[in-house]
Amino acid sequence: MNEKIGAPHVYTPGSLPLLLSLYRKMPDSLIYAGGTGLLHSQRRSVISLSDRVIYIGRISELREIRRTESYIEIGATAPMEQIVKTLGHHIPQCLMLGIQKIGNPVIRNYATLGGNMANPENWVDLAPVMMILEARIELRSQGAARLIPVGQFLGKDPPLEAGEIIAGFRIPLESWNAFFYRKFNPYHHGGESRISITGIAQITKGIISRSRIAVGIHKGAIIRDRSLENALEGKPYPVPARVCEPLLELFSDSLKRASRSPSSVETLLLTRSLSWMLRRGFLPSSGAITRRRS
Amino acid sequence: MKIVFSLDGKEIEPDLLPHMRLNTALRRELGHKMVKGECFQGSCGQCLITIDGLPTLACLVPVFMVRGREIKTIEAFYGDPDYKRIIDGFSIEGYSPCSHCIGGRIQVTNFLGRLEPVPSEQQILHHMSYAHCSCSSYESMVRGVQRALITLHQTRR
Repeated sequence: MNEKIGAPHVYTPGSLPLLLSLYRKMPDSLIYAGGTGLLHSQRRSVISLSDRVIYIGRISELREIRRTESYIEIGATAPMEQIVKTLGHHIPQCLMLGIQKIGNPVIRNYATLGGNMANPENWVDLAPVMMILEARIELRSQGAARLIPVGQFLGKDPPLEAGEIIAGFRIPLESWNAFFYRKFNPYHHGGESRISITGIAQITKGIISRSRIAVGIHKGAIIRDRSLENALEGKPYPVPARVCEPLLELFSDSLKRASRSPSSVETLLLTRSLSWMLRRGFLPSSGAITRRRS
Repeated sequence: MKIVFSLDGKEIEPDLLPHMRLNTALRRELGHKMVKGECFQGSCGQCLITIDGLPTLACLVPVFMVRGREIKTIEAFYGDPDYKRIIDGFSIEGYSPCSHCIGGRIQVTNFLGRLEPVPSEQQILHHMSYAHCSCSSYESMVRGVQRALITLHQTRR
């Protein structure tokens, strides 16, 4: 087979306006940033790509990482290792843990947050984290820009309009002093993760004053259970077993009601993880968690 | 497609398929036999090179991404005095990586030395986690890298 027949045309715009005008003319092109997920999913030495590829790794506007007093802004093509290094201790720790669970440090030199969020296959990684952080996604097309909540982006099919790209993310800087993140594959230890659960909480004097919990399921389902979050408010931490039981039932019911519900094994593992999170799994993120004396 | 880039200090303009993996292009088209690895998953670590000084797994990079970039393979590092210092540091501590992972380990040690002259054990394990090879123990690897970096740090001061 002559591999040159399938060689794509690669365009490398140097600026955002140039990219948007190019993508408007060719909305069927493949937008290529780090490409780690795409290459990881293929097995051949010559990879299969769309006929037209727009490589966006040279656009400096899309790589910027900034911090203000109230939020952090991360460009869609900022590599994950760069995000962790640049933001240092200002990075929300559940996001840092989520990033650290992706690939290895060398892969993360190229893997981007935009790439991870653009592909529903990867939503098990960081989408639940971005959801509980109530991040917003900046979408750009020629002559238009909008900032939408991550939850809205994840719930839409397809999430992007024609000619629209993910330009970046805005994550509010809020005060949370406990976090939890776990990702696993119940069927193949060490294989690609299929489910994840993450949580953040504000725990003051041994009482959970507020919390956010979300679950990611392989191939595009993110579940955030607000009834569970409300039920947790005012509960002591660690949550005693008798208080924990009805919360776990509530959680298990909400998993069953989801549009793409997890399998029974996945539900069992997620429920156990939640139980661990509530009983002693929360890690302190800034300042120690004061546990109430029993 | 003609692509201009610098390979081991020489600017070249080979005619390559833009969608070929870089490790295949370097090994098959440009004769760099030390760039190994056929996992195409970024997991074996045998195709590790540096692009603009950053450790990179060449199997996860298509050729079109390297236009104008500076690529260095382990072959370019052979003549460098730091190469010998790193190897000596490894052998003093009895760390002898196998032929599959030695190239990557040396390059990452060199990178780590520029990033953090005296890294902690955790930092070493973090940076070396790009590949899991059973040829040596983690303890000897950490000791070997620490020794190599002490030597590098002393000569770079």
